[in-house]
Amino acid sequence: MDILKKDNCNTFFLPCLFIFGMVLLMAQKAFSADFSTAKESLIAAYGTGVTYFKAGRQDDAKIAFRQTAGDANCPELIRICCFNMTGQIARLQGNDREALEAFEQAANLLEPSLSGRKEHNANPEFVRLLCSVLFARGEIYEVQENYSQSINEYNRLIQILRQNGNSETAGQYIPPAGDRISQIYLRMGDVNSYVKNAEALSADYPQYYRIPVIKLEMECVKFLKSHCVNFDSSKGSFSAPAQLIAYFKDFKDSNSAQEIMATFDNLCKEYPISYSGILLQYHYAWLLDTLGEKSKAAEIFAMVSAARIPDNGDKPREKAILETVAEYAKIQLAILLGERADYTQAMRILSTIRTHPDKSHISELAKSVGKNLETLKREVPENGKK
Amino acid sequence: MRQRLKKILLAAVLTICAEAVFAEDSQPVSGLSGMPAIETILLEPVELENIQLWVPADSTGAMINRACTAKTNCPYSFSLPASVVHTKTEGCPDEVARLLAEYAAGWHNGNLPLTIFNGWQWEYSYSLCQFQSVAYDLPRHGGCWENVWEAILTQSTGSISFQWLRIPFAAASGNESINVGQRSDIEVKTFSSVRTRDGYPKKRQL
Repeated sequence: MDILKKDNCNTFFLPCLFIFGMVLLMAQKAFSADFSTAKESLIAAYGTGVTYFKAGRQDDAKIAFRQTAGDANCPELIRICCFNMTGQIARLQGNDREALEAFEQAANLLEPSLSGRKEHNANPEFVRLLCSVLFARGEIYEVQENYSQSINEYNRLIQILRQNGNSETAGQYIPPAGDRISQIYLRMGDVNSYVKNAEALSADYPQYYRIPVIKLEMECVKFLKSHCVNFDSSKGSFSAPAQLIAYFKDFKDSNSAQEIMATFDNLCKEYPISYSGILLQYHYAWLLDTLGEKSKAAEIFAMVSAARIPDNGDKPREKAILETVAEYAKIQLAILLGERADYTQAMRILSTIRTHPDKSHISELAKSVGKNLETLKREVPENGKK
Repeated sequence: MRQRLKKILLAAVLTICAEAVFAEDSQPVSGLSGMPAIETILLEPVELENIQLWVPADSTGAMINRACTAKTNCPYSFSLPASVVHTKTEGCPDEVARLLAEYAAGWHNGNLPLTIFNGWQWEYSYSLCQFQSVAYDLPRHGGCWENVWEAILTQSTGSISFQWLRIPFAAASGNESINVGQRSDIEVKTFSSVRTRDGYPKKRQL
């Protein structure tokens, strides 16, 4: 190096450079201390808001979060958390407008961070936070019956996850968001968009647990739309199978009966016994019962009532619904057996129904059906002979 | 020897300068990486499973008329015990549990009032259960066997989970943790569209 060969550098340049470096280092350390102090005070202010929230002082908490987020030196992470906290508190207070605004501010900061432009991109906690705030916006609009905005929010979430989310997160949030979009279209009365979105969801996420039921509901909606002028879609598609059965109870439409029975039968064969599969079978059994196919209905009710209900605590909602379905299937099976004078078997089935100390509908119904069967057994020992 | 000292001195100078210059660029991360993680609420989407099923609603013993005159329009009333089971974990804020109740109530507002107690809990008194009335005829020396009624059960089973999400300042630290989640659960059952079962047998002569 030339610099090492020159005496003037040795005697003047190197010491100067050394002193300059020391000064620069000290200045940087001093600035660093100020920077950390400012950030620490903002973190402390944020912590104050959290403490207020935990103490139930929601309004004080919101003020603390607003002030912290408004500080020009506030790090982005704290600002995001402030907006999220403000939105959540406002939502819990029923202040939808403020909640929507705060969630939007949080989402606007989170969205670019997932596009790889910020230092904390791909942070899974940011993805979860973004999903949470966008879902919250969708839900608020949905409850307000501002359906088009709600659809926009769910679609926004889906687009972001498709572009930036990992497959696990996408699989967790996209199917329920897509499900809600299709339901909202139906509540708006737009059957074509409902069918289009439900079909897309079925094709993209065939493993989503509701897919068998979604397919059944879709077929029921299509049928009711074309056959039933009183079809009520205001609550979405979940009521469609029951409405379809009610249609056949009211109108003995034998021309359509075969077609719809074949549709139900195919869906039941397509899906094995699972949460959705058991629901399919239960609806199918009621349809058969309504259409006079009592023996086949009894077979399916027997199958549903004997279905094994998973008890691993993993899916409490599905478990609760399956328990309800299984108990009512038992009672309906007992009624069917009673109608064909098979009283012994009917009473045996009823005896397996658990009793509830709180006099729930199921246990009271089981008692009254049992009493009824006793009378029938006495008065009509064998139906065929009467 | 002197040449070697020069090299050491130059290296020291360059190291100090590099430290001063590059440390400033990385300040936001290195300055905060030692700070505690930030806590914020993570409220998962409301998970509500709605189903509507036809179910047997009520049953009575066969009504029999051994008299020689027919009876018409005999009334029979029964109650359908709609139910609400609403719980929350101890650490779950009241407002979160109430949000779930309000969300679930939207699917039953035609059949069940939203009666909030304790600031959060949707409690439903059995004195408010749904009453239904039916009428039936009895032939002389005969009986009515249309004694099973059916209805549509609407069941909403749902939950909302509430967590404190801990986000560390340094993205690469990978120490994100979530404390034990708090939750509220709800199960609501209501009945509608009661009708007489089209079963067998219907009427009998004694």
